[in-house]
Amino acid sequence: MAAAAAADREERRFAEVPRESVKLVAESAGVELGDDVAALLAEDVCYRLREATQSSSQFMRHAKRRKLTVEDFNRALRPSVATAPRTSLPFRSIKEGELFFVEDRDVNLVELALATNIPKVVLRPMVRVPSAVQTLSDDLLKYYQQITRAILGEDPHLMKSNSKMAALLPYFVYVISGVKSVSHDLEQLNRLLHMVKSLIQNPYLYLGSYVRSLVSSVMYCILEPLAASINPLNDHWTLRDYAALLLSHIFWFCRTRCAVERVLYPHLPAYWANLQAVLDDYSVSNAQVKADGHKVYGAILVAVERLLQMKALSLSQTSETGQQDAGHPGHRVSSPGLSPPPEPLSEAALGIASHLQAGGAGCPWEGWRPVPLPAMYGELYSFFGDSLAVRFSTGPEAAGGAAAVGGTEGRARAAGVGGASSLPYAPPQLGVAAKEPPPGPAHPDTARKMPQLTANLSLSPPRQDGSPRASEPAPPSLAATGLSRPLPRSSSSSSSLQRSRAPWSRASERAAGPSRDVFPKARFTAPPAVGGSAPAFAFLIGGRQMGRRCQGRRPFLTAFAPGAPTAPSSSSATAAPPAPPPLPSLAPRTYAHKLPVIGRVSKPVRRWACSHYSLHLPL
Amino acid sequence: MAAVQSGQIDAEEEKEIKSETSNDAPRNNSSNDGRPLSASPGTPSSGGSVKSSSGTTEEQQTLLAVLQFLKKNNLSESVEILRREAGLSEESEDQKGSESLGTGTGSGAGTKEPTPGDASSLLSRVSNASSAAAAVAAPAPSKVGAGDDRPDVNVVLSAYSQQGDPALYDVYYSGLKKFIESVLDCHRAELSQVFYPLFVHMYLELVYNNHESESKAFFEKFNGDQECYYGDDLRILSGLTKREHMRGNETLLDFRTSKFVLRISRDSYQLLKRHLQERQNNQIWNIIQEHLYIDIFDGMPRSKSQIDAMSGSLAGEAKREANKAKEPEIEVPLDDEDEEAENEEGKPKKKKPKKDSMGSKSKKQDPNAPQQNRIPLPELKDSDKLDKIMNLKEATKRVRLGRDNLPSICFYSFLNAYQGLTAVDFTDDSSLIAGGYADSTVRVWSVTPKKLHLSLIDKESDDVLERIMDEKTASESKILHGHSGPVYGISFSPDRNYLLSCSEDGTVRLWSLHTFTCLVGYKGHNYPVWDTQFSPYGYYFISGGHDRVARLWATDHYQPLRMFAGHLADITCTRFHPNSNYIVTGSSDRTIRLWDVLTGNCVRILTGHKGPIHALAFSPNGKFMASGATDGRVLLWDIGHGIMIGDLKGHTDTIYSLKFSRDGEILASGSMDNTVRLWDAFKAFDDLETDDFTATTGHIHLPENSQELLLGTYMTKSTPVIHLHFTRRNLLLAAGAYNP
Repeated sequence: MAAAAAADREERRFAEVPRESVKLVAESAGVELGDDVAALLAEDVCYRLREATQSSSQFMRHAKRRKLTVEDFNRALRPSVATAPRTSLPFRSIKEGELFFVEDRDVNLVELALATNIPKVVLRPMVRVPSAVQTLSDDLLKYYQQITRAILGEDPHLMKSNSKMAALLPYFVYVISGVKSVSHDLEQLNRLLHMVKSLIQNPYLYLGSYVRSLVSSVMYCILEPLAASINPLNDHWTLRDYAALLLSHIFWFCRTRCAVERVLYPHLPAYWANLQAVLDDYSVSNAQVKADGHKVYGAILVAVERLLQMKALSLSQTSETGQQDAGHPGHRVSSPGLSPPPEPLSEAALGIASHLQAGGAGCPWEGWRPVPLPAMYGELYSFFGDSLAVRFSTGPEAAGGAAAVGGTEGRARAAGVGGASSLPYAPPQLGVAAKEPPPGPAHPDTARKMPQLTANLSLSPPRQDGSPRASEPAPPSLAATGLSRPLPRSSSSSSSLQRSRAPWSRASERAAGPSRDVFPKARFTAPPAVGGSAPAFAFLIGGRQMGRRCQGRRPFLTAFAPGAPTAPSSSSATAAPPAPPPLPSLAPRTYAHKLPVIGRVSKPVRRWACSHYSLHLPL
Repeated sequence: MAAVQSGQIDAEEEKEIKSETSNDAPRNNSSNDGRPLSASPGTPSSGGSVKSSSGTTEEQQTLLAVLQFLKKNNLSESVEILRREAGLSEESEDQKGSESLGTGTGSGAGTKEPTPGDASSLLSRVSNASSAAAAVAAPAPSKVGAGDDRPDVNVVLSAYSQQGDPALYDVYYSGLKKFIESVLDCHRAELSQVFYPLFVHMYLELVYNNHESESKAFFEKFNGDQECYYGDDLRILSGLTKREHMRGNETLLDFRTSKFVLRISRDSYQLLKRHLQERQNNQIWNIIQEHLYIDIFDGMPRSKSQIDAMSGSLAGEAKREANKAKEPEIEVPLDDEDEEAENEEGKPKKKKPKKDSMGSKSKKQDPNAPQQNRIPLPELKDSDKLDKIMNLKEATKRVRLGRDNLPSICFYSFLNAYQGLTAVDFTDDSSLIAGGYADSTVRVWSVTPKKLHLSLIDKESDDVLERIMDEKTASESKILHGHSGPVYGISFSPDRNYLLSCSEDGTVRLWSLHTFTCLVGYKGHNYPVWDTQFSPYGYYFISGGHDRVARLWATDHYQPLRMFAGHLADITCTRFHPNSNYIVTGSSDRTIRLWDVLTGNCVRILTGHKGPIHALAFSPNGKFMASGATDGRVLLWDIGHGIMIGDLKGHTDTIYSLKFSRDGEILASGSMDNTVRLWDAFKAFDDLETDDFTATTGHIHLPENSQELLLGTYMTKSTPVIHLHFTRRNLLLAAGAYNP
């Protein structure tokens, strides 16, 4: 046989792939090959391999090597064979049979089935959550049942990427809204939450108005006293944590900031008091709760930062249309932050005080109106201080503007270790500002035209308060203005100070113009019962007061002289950093800056003002 | 000249075809820019008497056949031109169309041939048929030239469809072999050139017609006859046993789309022809007609060594026209002279006899050289001028090298380069060294005590730059990440602001040496890019790679300015001529091509290497070039005449680096065989006497003096020499990765 002889010769010259291997590979791919086909294929494979070998030598030559490497060969395969495997196939061997095979990938049959069998029904948009599933067609019903069973029974993963689910979305939402009925079963709740997550993550779904329903279900898991929580063995906290995480996820996904803005933000002061109380309790029994409290603090902080970010974003988007006139003065006023002109600064410094005072207690809690960003920022800053890591761009229309204090920066300052130089608003300027009373007439126009700008500048005081003390102890001239920040805090405890500040604040009030009115001030300036009612206290907490039990932490603190509230002008500014720990009675008036750790009030406010905001702390 | 003397018919026919090709690919001068038809010499074979009597009719019929073909392929423009040139009216064509077609297919050939001889009628039929077939093949090359990646394989291969008895191939070939072995020695060398292309085409024909066992047997039997330097091709060929394989095989397509060029003296050619006629060996004759281009010259047959020196490329030798006819076209001769070159007073001027250039020679500008503003260049910056001044200052301290005064060599060994060092470059002032690695990184070192940024930052600039100069961030080396495949070529810009790197991932990247970041990724090559180089004045750069196209780029354009297509295989290395007007590319098809940057034309094709070319270097005066290949030989070229002027044997492995000393007196070569060798370039060029005869015929007589020219061999310690560089003071720097 000439052919056989030729084949023999061939084999001598080249390595050959025997047809058996070809057949084997084909079988592993589920194809039955005839002998002749296999032979042909084997020959072709040999040829292709030879070809690749030839061209791989080129890669070797260009790599200036003498050895041909596997990579060279892979590279040679790439241009010709589009799908040269990057990773080697996982071969496994069976010892008995001397057989090697490629391991098969597991195929999820359920997934496959679901992906193909769903009838495509064009759904009319359903806005409300259906109460029953009877209206479904047979196919859909079957599918629906299958899925719900799957969810309540097994694996919810199939919802994440299933594109055929849109038709059933309302029904799923309906299922999820049934959380109340399973509140005794943590496992089921967990599954439902996972289902929510899957729905949210499914890129093929448009949730639209169902978000609200989902949110309410999730909120239920977060807030309500679940039946499951009666049993102390149930770890319902994990569930709540997860639900909260999910909620934030939803907000982030659906870009809803209104929830945070409407729900969290207005009630923050009230809630804050509770939190503060918890955090202030250093008793051992409270340790667990306190740890949770810190968690909450962090969560709120994150939420609030996001809120600010989103607000700033939307503001900058609408700024062209709404605030044309605000544009150029804004630029004018904010730019001085970097260069001398000090007047608007001090003016604004007073601005915050004026806001706080002028707002009065009458601001309605309900009747929500969008709070302008600067105001919001100002307020939040009063809560969180430098922990607030949101930093606005200094552009004129980023209203919040004026580069909010970054976390580390704030830290350095709060610790009183003299990071003052990095602040844009330098003390000398303040001094000047102090000497010259806020020039209302000088810049009335600019200030009046752009409320958000004054607010913008109102952010600056927080920066000032740390720096003068730290770096240059008490330039006398500073005393007056240097306090612009402490002032509001103390104002709650001492009304005399308020009065003393009144003229200025009024002046700046004038200058600040409309912004003051927009600023809902009520909860800051309701001072009647110090340490009594939570809302009133909220503001104090914002100042991060600390109590006498904190001596051990002194290195981290900047203590203010005890006399501060009554004589805020000079004493607080001149007080040496290592001031003796304040007496308990004076505690509310004593300020200390602490870092992410929340300061505490000497007399822990045990009473929780609004219990429905509570954390369901185990007692 | 000699080639066209075979008769009027040929001249006519060649003209026609030329017009056609130039029509198809007007701007593109691919390898096929010459006449694709070799049928010409064969046509008159029907005998002198025939020609005189029936010459005109026959000629017309051929013309008409071609016209018919063109029409069929909607090449109306070509039809017009052809008709105008030939002076044919439309009626005559219509009238004779069918008739001529009949002739074309060969069916009615007998009627046209008054000569009774069997052989001649046979041959004329063959020649007719082949002209038709050639016309079929003709468009294909032009398509390739136009940048089409895959020429129409079917068209290309269909030339193989005519087949004889497969069993007879053996007989035919051995018959021819016997004949060639029996001819006089002087002819034997020339005629044995036929073996290789003939063998290849016969084998392919067998494969194409599915005679697998016969083809294998054929291969086995005659495998050893060819020159040893075709071994690589033959190995590829031997793997090819199925018709299906032929479709994707690039080597094969190269064979098909280009004609293998042979240079044979008239006497030898007549011998061959006569033999084939006597033996009625039309199978072989067919192949010769269709797939070979035989460049006939008058005069003495060349000797074996002469032939060997020039052959070896994938497509045979370069046609003489390729290296000559172009000169008037570009109107600028290749010789060019930098100011520097004036140093070489000892060197005789290579003059082209046709040009009376010597009289008007001025000190500043060689009239032969292209004008200095021929290639637009960005203006010199102050820093460039400073650098030029520095360069001149250094030049005054330059060591004068020569036979008795060899340069010192400083070798930079890359230790622990496990990533695989693939490319190295030095800046012109030798202050920086960059290495390209197989792990896709580029590393830059400062080889002077200055740390990296310090030498690079302009201190007068504003304070932003001072930050970059911060001492803390300074370092002796920087790593540039960006490529996703091995970096095969790197090149510093002359002003040391930029670095180019090309990679397997198909991109060329431009890096800033101020910020050490990637500035641009030039995407154009779809396949690995093997080499890239900045022009001597910066701004432009050239790249070439697996896609067989060299591209000219400007740094501020993301698309190439020129594409140079024509090589039959990967472009393995690219270099700029010192005057920036030309680029030279070396390729795996074992040819070197010189391209005019301005027009994009291929102005020289240099053959002679027996392996892929991996190193190229111009002499500083731009007149000469050295090339190194995997065959371990360094060839010296006179670019002006397009001829080989030296063959330096000594290396035993691939030559990866070549460099002339600053004044062009010494040539250094670095190789995979772990040696640096120095050659006396001065002597090699000095001895040179290019007479008229050599210049016109391209018959070279290489002096066998490569051992005399070898000035020194310097072994490294198991370190292949990847790069060589002469500092401005003529210290030789070499670099390579230690390879334990």
